[in-house]
Order: sequence, then structure tokens, then C-alpha cells
Amino acid sequence: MSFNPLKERGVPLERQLRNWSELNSQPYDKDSIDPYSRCRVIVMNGIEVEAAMYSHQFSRHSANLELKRKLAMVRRVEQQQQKAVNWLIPGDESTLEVTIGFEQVAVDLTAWVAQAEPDPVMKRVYEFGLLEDFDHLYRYANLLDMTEPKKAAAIVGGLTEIMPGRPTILEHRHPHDDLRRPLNLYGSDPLSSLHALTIMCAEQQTMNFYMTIGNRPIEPIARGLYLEIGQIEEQHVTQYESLLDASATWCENLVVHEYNECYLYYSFMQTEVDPRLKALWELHLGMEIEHLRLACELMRDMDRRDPEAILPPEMPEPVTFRPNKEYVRKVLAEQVELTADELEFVPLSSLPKSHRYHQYQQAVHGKSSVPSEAVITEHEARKGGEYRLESEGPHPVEHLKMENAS
Amino acid sequence: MTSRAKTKSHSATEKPKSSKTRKARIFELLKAEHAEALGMIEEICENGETMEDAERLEKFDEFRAALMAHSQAEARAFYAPLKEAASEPALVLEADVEHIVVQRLLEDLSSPKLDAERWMARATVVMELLEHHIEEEEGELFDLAESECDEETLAKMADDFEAEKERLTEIVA
Repeated sequence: MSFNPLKERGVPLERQLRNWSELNSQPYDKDSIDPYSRCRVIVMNGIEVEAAMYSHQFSRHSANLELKRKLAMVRRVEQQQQKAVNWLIPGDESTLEVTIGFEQVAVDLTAWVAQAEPDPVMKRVYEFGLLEDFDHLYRYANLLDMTEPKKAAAIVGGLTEIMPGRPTILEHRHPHDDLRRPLNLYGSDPLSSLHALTIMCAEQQTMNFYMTIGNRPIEPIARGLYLEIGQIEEQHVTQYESLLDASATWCENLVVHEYNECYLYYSFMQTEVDPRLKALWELHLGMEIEHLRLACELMRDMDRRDPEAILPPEMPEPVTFRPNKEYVRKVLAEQVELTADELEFVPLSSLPKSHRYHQYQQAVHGKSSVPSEAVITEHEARKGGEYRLESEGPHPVEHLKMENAS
Repeated sequence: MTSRAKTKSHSATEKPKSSKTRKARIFELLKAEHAEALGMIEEICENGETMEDAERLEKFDEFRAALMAHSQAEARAFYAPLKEAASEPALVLEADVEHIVVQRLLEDLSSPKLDAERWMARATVVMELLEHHIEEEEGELFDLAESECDEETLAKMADDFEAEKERLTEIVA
């Protein structure tokens, strides 16, 4: 039977606050956690961070005290949800190990969304971003193997391949070329709004994470790699936020945020293999159903508009973490040479020498060593080859095939 | 350009619209804005070739802002409640898609990279799509709204449309 969160009863708001010990979750065991359970934790943390930040921005743009009270109350609970989720990550999992988890999320979540996306124009955007995050996973995996040292295969569990994507060095482009065509909240398939918001949240939290922890390593190569890839995450946030309908009201956006939280907790509850996490997703779904009801109430009161008009009639197919190796290889083979020019994706080789892409590349790379390249060179020097995990055969792109992998 | 634009265009006062007399205010509001938008793009298509780039782009910016505010307000205040009320919403969904197609062409036209000839070709397509869209909307879609929505709903559509238009005009400017 189909599930519609608008027709369900959630946990009453006054019963949603939890005490410190309830929030201080027992962390997962980093050696035995299912890699996709780790991914789900990382995603839901990003979603809850966005929930809190969006609510803060809404409050900062309103002089209505009663509205601020309502937002503050729900936000306090969203903040507790964020803690309960993020505190699942164990202290003995290094920031670099967690980083591998972030990039596995970026690959397999984006791959899922691209395949489920009903709008072909938006699907192309996700595929474009996918190849860039796929490359980040490879660069960080080499850093991990070199500095900790540890094989990233143990973290991704063989579910995601690790090899070059669109080389990070080529991903840096002028900010004007990161903007894409927006969807229409009232005309596009509602699933497109959910997808854009989900990927934007995931990329936003990846950006936040690298901004914060990127200066924690001592090794210059690690600090350099985090700052370089952190700048690409900024590009990705610019790209994905430009997909959203900027004409939406604060209340409409709040409703979409809350529905999306329901959708993701519902999805993860369906697919979670860890019973303890499954129970947490279920608990949070019960809370989010109430948050959604309150957001819909606000939209009806303030906008005098019907929230059902911007939401799916029933819950879409659950967002599922699963291997996407064949799909990623296909996208690699077809699109690795692309870059962006204005709103379009075009072969890099088609850009004239005078294009702003080349000026931007010159500005950020200059004559210095580029960390995303240096990490591979240094790995080769120390270990006699680069680190890859190519379980499905050689790289599908001729010039990216491995020569000296360790 | 494009003799096609010249031969196919209509002046703002002789649009291919339904001749039915309709009572509800929402229809008058939408028709007036349709005529205004069509008049703006017709002027660009008819005279754009002889305009300086800056003048053509300035006129296009005015047109884009007016059309975006109109279509977003229309989607919220007219299409959304009509979808809800209509037993068969296929016509409204079709109109949604036409909005999206026009919006994408408007984004193309905002690109500084298009040369004048290709720019004018796209502008002509926008005009033709708009003519088609308006003809269907003022005919079949207005008929649908008249038959499926009561007076109160139609009155609310008009109020909502005006409020949304005012809000969106600031956002898309």
C-alpha cells in the first residue's frame, strides 16, 4: 500500500525532545558497519544540517514573532535529530576515513538520483557532477593509502569502484559556468524538487565538512587536497542550488524540506540493514511527519496555498544505496570529456583558448603544484604506483587506464 | 532574420483567442497580460534585426521579467487549483510543459554567447510557442476552468494571481 506522510499521524511535537543520553548515540563499529549504512548516516546528517540552517534563515527574514516561535521549536528538535545522527560516527574513524564515506555518498547517491530523475535536463546535471565526485573518491583513496595508511576498499566494501573520473584538475571552472536551468515548483515533477534538494544538501554538508576539517591534517599534501576539493564542492553547491525554483516562497520551501526529510527517513527505513539504525530512521520519520504537518499548516495560513500542489501524491520509490558500477562506467565512457559553458555541457576541447575557463584555470593553478595531481604523483613515488579499485575490469576510458597501480 | 517572424506575427490587438465572453475576473487579468507579453516579443521579433544589441537585450530583459513573473504567478494561482479541481488535468499538465519549454528558451536568450542571428531565431520560436500556448489556454483551459471551478474559486484565483504577480515581479526583475 502506498505511503503518504500527509495522511499519517506523527509524534506530537511536545513529545519529541530527548535527553542527553538518548542523543549521545552509541557509535557504529567502523570495521563492521555496512558501507551503505555509513552512507545513510552521512546523508541524514547533511539533511538535518540543512533543515536547521534553512529554518534559521527563514527566521532571520521574518519579523513575525509567532512564526519565529514555531520555527524555533521545530528547529530545536531538528538540531537534536542532527546530533543523534551525527554522533553515530565513531571517534576512532579518522576524518579521512569519514571523507571516503562522504565521497561514496556523492557517487552512489548521485548515481541513484540521476537514474531516477524524470527530467532529462536535470539528469544530465547529476551525471555531470557524478563524474567529478567519482574522481574525488580516487584522490582521497590515494591520500588515505599514503598517509594512514589504509586501503579505501575496506571502507567502501567493494560496493563502489575507485579510479579516475573527470580529473579534478580540470573541474575548476569560472563561477558563471556552474549555474544550471532551474526547475519549476509548480510545473516540474515534484520528485525533481526532492532530488535537487537532496543532492544540494549532501554537497553542502560535504563542503561544510571539508571547510572545517580540511586544516586538521599536518601533511601539506592532505591540507592541499582538502582545500582544492573543498573549492569544487563550492562549485557543486552553486550548481545544485541553481536547480531549485528561486521563486518559491519561504513556506513552500519549508514544506518541500520537511517532505524530503520524511521521504529520506522513509526510504532509509525501508532499506536499512542495521536494526539499531532502522529504529532511529523510523523514530525520526515519526517526528518529521509532524514537522511536515506543521509546515503545511504554515503554508496554508501564510501563503493561502495548498501544499498538496507541490508534493507527490504518494511517496516516490525509496532512495536506495546500491552499487552503480556499470552505470558509472557508462557515464564515464560517454561524458568524461565534458565541461560546462554557460548553461550547457560541452566537450572541453571545444572551448576556444580565450574562454574564461582557461583564464580561471590559470588563476587557480598558476605555476604551482596542483594537490589533486600531486597526491597521485606522491603515491606513485612512495608506493610504486597509484591506488585503484577496479573490480569490473580496466578503466573504460583509454587515456585513464591504469599504468602503475599498486 | 526571419521573414517567418514577420509573416506569422500578430499585433497585440489581433491575437488568435477565444471569442467567448467570460465573466470571471481571472480570465480578464490573464488575457490582458498575454496580450502584453505577446506584444513585447512581437516587437522584438519584428524590429530586433535593426536594433542595436544593447537595445534588443534591454527589451528582451523587460519581456523576460514580465513573462517569468506572469507564468510563475499563473502556475501558482491558476494552474495549481485548476489541476486540483479538474477531473482530467491533462490539459493543465500540457500547459505546465509549455511553460518549462519557454523558460528554457528564455535562458538560452539570456546567454551573451548567442550571435544575433541565432538569437533572433530563438526569439521567433518563443513567440510562436507563446502564440500557441495562449491560444490553447484562452480556449480549452479557460473552458475547463469555467466548467470545473465555482465562482468563489475563480474569484480566489484572481486575488491570488494579483498577489503572486506583485511578489514575483520583485524576484524575477
